[in-house]
Amino acid sequence: MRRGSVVAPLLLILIGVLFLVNNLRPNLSLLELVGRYWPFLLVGWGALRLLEILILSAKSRPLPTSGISGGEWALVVVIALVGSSLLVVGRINERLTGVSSAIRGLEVFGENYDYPVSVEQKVGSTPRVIVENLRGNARIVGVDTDEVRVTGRKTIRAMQQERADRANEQSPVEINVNGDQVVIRTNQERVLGQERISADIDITVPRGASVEARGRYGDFDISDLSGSVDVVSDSAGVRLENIGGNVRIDLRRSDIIRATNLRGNLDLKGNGKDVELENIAGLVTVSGGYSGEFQVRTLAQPLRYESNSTELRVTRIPGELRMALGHLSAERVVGPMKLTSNRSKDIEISDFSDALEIVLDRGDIQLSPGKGPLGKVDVRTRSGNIDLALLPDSRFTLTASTNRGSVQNEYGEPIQEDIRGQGGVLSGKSGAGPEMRLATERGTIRVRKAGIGRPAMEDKAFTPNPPRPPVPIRPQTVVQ
Amino acid sequence: MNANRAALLQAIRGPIMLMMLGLLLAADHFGSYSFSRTWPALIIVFGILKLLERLALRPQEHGGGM
Repeated sequence: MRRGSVVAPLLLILIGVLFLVNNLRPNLSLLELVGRYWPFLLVGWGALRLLEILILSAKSRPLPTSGISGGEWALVVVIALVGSSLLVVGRINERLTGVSSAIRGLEVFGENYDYPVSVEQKVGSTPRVIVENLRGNARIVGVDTDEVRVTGRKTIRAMQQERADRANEQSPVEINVNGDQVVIRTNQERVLGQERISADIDITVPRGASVEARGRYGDFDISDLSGSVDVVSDSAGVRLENIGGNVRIDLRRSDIIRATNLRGNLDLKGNGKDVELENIAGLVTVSGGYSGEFQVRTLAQPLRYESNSTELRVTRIPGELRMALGHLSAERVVGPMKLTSNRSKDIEISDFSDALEIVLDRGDIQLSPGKGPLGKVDVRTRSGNIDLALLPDSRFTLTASTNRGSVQNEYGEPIQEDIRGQGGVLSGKSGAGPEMRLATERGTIRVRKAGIGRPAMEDKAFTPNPPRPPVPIRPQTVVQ
Repeated sequence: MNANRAALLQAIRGPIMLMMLGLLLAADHFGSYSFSRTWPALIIVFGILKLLERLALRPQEHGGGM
């Protein structure tokens, strides 16, 4: 039996030891050492193999036909490519700064170096503050002061300390005052090397300030301002609290947008996951795609929501409204309310007043009007059950029809059941009530007294998604 | 004996080439000579090893013939 070379196991041991040391003592910057000294790995490998062959020859044992097999040469090529890329990419990068972003993959290597940030500047009491922080989180708080103060920490990921130091000098955090306008810059774009910089900063501004925040990657947390707020970012989580002016948020991607206690209008654009809005005095306009849960509570003025599948308008929401991919539930809402969706959606609306219009492609609908005055109710779905729970003494003029499915009258007088072919119609009039038209092409229609009988879809009641495990931060990808 | 020597030379060719490559790359990394200028040395060494192998084989072939 041919005994394999001792080199392969040694190589495995070496790789294992390198990774282990790297994990246990991360500050030893092993990758840099490997990047520098890997050619000696080849020399050592060759020397070991040579020694083995000489020993075999001295013992006059049969010699292998080739000292290094084809497979091993392939491994040599791989080692050479990886090894040279560790340092050479850095050199190329310095020369061709324009393409540096194309070789950003190198960011995963290197070490983190932290630098403190602290600058301040006197400004007026109602400045317009512009924050430009490409990467990193920014917290902006309004306090009773007449200066802008930036504190925090800058993290630079680099292969060597000197590089990090240089990148730090190239990217000073600055406050520029120009009349009423205050610009806070972290100047990360000035660093042209492969170092990655992010700044986590706390900014205190005068309470009367209005803020314009721009970033590429990082969260914004803004609170206690009486001016307006404008956030634009490629990828950010945004949290707003106690804002006096109008708010505009434009994000290409976000994991959460949360706004509480806004006295002005809110304009939300872009794509993201979860949205939570609470206690907003102004108009709320939402357009874009939100894949998570959309939750609003206590809106004093109309809500307009538009995505490519769903359009929703509600005049007022004293209660709450939650919407997820296949579900919408609302409680204590004031119409006129209009919902159109070409996706499958189960709807559950309770305690609503004024007019309601729902046009749905597919989904079950469960309605229970509240005590408030009702307007015209017009509900249509192509496929799905409709369940209407009316208060015992309500006034209405009802026509509920299905083309294919059963009708169930659990309300009793004055509603009449009429079976037609495969479908049926429920109709009835009680006093001079508003017109209610319910129609499904395929599904069951049931009308009952509120509080009696189980809602048809109770078992499908909405439960929020369980929290997902945190997603590791991916390098920036271009959305759309 | 000569055949043995030829086999040995053939076997050590790989390791020697590998060491040579490693040394040239190290020289490249430490800035003295760039690999783009020194690579012909690999061909020269390869040729020398091939030649030695041949020289080791030839007398044996002649010997076999005689």
